[in-house]
Amino acid sequence: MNLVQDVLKKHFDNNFLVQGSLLYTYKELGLAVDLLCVEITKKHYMGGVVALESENCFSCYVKLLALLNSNIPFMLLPSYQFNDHTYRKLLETEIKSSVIYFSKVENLAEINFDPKAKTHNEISTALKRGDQPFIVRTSGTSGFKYKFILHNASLFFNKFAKVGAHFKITFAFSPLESIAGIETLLETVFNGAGLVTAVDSFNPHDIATLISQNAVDYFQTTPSFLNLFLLSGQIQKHNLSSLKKIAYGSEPVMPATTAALKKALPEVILMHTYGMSEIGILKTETNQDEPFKLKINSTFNPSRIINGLIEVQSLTPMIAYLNYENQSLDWFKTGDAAQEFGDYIQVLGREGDLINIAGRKFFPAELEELLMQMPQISDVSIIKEANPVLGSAITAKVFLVSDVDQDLFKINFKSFCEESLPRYMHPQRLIISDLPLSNSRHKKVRSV
Amino acid sequence: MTTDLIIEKIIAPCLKKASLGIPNVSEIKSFDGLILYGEESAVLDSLNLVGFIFLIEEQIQATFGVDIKFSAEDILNTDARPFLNIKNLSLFLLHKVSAAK
Repeated sequence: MNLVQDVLKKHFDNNFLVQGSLLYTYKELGLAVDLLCVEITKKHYMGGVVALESENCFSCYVKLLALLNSNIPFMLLPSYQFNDHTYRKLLETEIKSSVIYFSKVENLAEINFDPKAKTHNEISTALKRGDQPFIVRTSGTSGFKYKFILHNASLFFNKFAKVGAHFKITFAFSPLESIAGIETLLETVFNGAGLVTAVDSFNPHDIATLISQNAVDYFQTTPSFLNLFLLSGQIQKHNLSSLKKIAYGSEPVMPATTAALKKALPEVILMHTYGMSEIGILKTETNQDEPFKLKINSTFNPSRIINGLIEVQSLTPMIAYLNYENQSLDWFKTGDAAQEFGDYIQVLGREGDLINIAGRKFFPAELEELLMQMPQISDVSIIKEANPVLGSAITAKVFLVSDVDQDLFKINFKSFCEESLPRYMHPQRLIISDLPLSNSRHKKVRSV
Repeated sequence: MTTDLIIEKIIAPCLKKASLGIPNVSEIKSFDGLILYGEESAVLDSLNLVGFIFLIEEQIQATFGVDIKFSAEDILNTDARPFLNIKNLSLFLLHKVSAAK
């Protein structure tokens, strides 16, 4: 018996998940995890990492919890990366491990382990120590370079025990592959709380409907989604009286956003969260008069500002980067700038290439690689702009191969985005350049 | 300047461009009762609204020669819901363009 199974059994009488018209109980979750664990155990883990195609759904949650329970290292990939063979090669090189892939529809019980599978030394050491290892990906420093981070799930359970239960039903807003997505699932399960998922978590109408119908009391989201939520008018149109707390993080929040939110939902407690893939989500206190300011809770996470940048100690520090030079974890240097206001700080964020669309983060080069799949494009440059609604906005500047009709290309570009890119990666503006691009990041530019 | 002029010179051309160029915006056949953003039947959703705002800013620059930028305060701190429908948007833009001129 393992911690995950113990936890699930404690809550067998509770409802676990509302997914569309389906309701799953903790009993159903516990039995599904048990069955899968039995099958996985029979196969005898011999090394490597399991990569799951990620989605906030019952089937993915069962797989994740079964792997965690079986102490098999895993990570989650969004569909567009899961299905990209170039990305798979990059991943295996970067994490120095063999990877076994399971799509959303594949049965994890059919897994087979390879005795020759490679496993990163840090992962092997963590397993010997008895950790429950999982990997998340975060942004790198520049270009198409990600940091892969090894975590120990046991530390998260210890943290949830210290923090205590503080919600009854929450909403799975963050993508499951992110640290926020994994924490949301683990904290919900640890406390026997309820979870609600949506097919399109960017749709204010759908989310307002789900909050109202399922009596969600804790809504964790991003500042830019709150902008869209406010702008949509859906807050006023739905009965959101079940909401007790709204938490927002992942990107800096504007005073205008929190002021409008306080006006729209005066009874709701606003919680400005702060966290990173390397350290998890920290315990914070929010200034309710000025909810764009927060205080990092010193009992749980001592913090300090050095040269204007936040440094913290976390209850859930990563074990190590798998492909990046590791820094001392005593005081983790977040790289986030902050302005101090007495005991409180306002997080100002980080400069750099990283694009943050409503909390979904990716690099310009990553989108450029995807757009270069269009045969009409000779070269492309993605330009990030600050945007008051979404956080960042994207302009795609393209140079076309010769003899391409521009009007026809615009139609093809629209179709390509709709069919091949995740919604948050769609450029908001397209510029067709008459001249070759001078700031190309691509080593291989198609001949014109 | 009137709201009719704003609709003719700014909003209508931008909606046409949006349906041709912005991913996930469908063809707009009629302006009657058209909901732009915020309702179930709206033609714009959360992620392509920003692309539409870019088009509006560019069209205003090209037509009236003034630069306007939408701030968070513009968009959020109003009870008018400027992007709900064409009427609201035309009133909002009329105010913005008049102030910028």
